Amino acid sequence: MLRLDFEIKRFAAELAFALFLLLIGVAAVTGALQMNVGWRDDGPGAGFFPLLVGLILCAACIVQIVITFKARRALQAPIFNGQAFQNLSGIVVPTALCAAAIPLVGIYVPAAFLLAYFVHRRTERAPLEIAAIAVAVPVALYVLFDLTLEIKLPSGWIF
Amino acid sequence: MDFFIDQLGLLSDGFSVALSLQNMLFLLFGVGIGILVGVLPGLGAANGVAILLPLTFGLEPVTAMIMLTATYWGALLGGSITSILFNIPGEPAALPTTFDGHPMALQGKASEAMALAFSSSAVGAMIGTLLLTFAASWIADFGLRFGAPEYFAIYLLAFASFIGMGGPDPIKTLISIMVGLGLSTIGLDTVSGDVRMTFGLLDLVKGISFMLVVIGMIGIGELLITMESNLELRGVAARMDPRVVLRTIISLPRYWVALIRSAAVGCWMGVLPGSGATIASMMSYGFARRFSANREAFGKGAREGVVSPEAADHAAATSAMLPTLTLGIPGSGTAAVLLGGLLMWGLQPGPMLFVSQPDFVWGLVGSMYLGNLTAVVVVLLSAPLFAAILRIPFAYIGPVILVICMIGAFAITMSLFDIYMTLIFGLLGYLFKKLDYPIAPLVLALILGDQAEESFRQSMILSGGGIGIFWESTLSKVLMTCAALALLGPALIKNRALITSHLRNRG
Repeated sequence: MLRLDFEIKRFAAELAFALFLLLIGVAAVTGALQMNVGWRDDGPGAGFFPLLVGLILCAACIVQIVITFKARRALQAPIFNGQAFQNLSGIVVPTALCAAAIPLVGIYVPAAFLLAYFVHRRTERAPLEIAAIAVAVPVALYVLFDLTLEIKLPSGWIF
Repeated sequence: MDFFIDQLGLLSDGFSVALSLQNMLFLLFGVGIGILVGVLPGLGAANGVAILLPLTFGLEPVTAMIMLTATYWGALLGGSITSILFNIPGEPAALPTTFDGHPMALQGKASEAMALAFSSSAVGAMIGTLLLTFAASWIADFGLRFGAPEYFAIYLLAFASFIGMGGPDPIKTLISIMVGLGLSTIGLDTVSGDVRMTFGLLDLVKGISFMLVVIGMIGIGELLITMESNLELRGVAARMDPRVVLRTIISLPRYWVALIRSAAVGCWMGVLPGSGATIASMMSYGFARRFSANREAFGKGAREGVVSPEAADHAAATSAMLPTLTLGIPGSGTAAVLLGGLLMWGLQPGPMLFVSQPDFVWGLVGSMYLGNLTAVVVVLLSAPLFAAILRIPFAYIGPVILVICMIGAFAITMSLFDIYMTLIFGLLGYLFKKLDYPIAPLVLALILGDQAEESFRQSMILSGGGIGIFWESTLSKVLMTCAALALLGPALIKNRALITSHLRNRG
C-alpha cells in the first residue's frame, strides 16, 4: 500500500484555516454588498447586519493570523501526518462517493457498501460475515425509518 | 408562601401531563436512546437530539420535548459509563469523571464508581430542576417587561459571555460566533422579504438549518476525529453488584458538602449562557480538589472526584433549561438545539410561553423530575449492557453513525442537498475541533442570529435609527453594562493579576 510520509505543523494548519475563514468573511462582505447596506428611515437594510458580521469576522481572522505568527515558536508540533491523512481519506472519500450515489440508487445500497468497506478495511472478518452485516444494517434501517417512522428515505430506482 | 403553593399547583398539573402513558413511553424511549448516544464516543447529547428532532415532527410538541429532554439526561449518564470504564469521555462534560472514576474502576470498584456517579447525578439534576420550578415564573414575569431593545441587549449578553468566559481562546470564540451569525443570515430576510447571501444557489433560499450544522459539525466532525486515530477502545469489565450499588447510594449523604457545592456551581454555570455542563463539571472538580482534606487522593480514585463533576454536570444541564424556557436564551449547546426545536413547532420560548402554553411548560418541567429519576434507574440496571456495546469494534459503529447522521440530515426537509451540506459541515467541524475552535458558540449564534437581528432592527424602527435606544430604559442599560462586563471582565481580571504578579516580582 502506498505510504504517504508528510507532516503538517500546527503553525501551518492554524494559518491556513485562519486564511480560509478570512475568505469566508470576504465572501460574506461581498454577498452583503449586493444588498441594501444603508440605513433607511425604517432602520438598517437587509445587507447591514451581514455586512457587520462579515467585517467583524474579517477583523477577527486578521487578529488570529497575527496571534498565530506571534506564537509561531510554540506551534511547531505536528498536528497532521500521512497516516492520519490516509485514515481520514479512507472515510471521507467512500462517504462522499456514497453520498454522490444516493440520487441514483437511494441510501440503502450505498449504506451497505459503506459498511462492508469499513469492516473489510479495519477488521479481518470473513467475506460472508461482512456481507451479512452489510445487508442486515440497511434492512434494519429500512424497517426503522420507512416502515416504523414512515420517513421515506431516498431509495433511487431500486424499489 | 402563596408563591410556593402556586408553583406546586402548577407543577402538579405538569405531573399529570407528563404521567400520561404515551408521554412516559416516549420518555423511556428517549432515555434509552440518550444512554446509547452518550455511551458512544463521538455521538453526544446535542447530536442525538438534533438527529431525533426531525423524527418527532409528527408528535405533540410536549411529548416530543419530553422525549428529547429525556435523551439529554440519558446521554449525560451514558457519557459517565464510558468515562469510568474506558477512560474516554462519552460526552464532553464527563471528562473530569475519567480522572477519578477510571482509577476506581481499575481498582475493581467499577460498580461503586458508577453507582456514585449516577446517584450524584440524580441529586444534581433534582437541585437544578427545583431551581427551574421555583425561579421560572419569576423570571418569566420579569421577561414580560422586555421590549426589542432589551431582547437585543440580552442576546448581546449571551454572545459576550461566550467570548469572555467561554474558553481559553476568545478570538476563536468570536470567529465561531461570527460564522454562526453569518450562516443565520443566509436565505430569506424576514424583515424586508429579500433573498440574501445565497450566492445564486436556489437550495440556500430556505436558509441553513441549525440541525444540519449540529449533525455535521458535532456528529460527523467528532466521528472523523475518532476514526482518524484508529481508536481502539479498551475498557474494564463492568458488572453491577446490587449490594454495592445500594451501599453506595446509602453512603451518598456523607458527601453533602461536595454535592451542594457542585450543584451550586452547576446551576450558576447552567443559567449563565455561554458556559454549560462541560465548564461546570471541570470547575466543580477543581473546587472539590482545592477544598478537599486529602488532596493527594485526587486522580487516584477519590470518591469526591466522581461525585463533584457528576452533580455539577447534571445541575448545569437541567438549570440550562431555565433561561431557555423563560427568556429564549439557551444556557448550553444542547439547550440551544432544544430551543431550535421549539421554534420549529412554532412555540416561541420566552415569557409568553408561560402564559399561552402553561400545560406545555409545566408538563415539561414535571417530566424533568420523572425523566432524571427514570434515567438513573434505567442506567443502574442497564450499564453493563450498554458497556457491552462499546466492545463492538468501531469499524462497525462508525459507518452506522455516519449513515444515521446522513439520514438525520435528509429527514429535516427531505432534501438531498442537505446531505451534502452536512458532509461539508462535517469536514468543517473536524477542522474546528482539530484547531480548538469552539463549536457551541457557532450553533448558538446560528439559532439566535435571526432573532438577534430582528430585535436589533425592530429597535431601530422604534428609535428611528438612533442607537441610543439601547441605553434608554434602565433594564437595557443594566443588560448592556452586564454584556460589556462579561466581555471584558475576565480579561481585565486576568491582566490585573498579571500586572500585580509582575510588580511583585520586580519589587
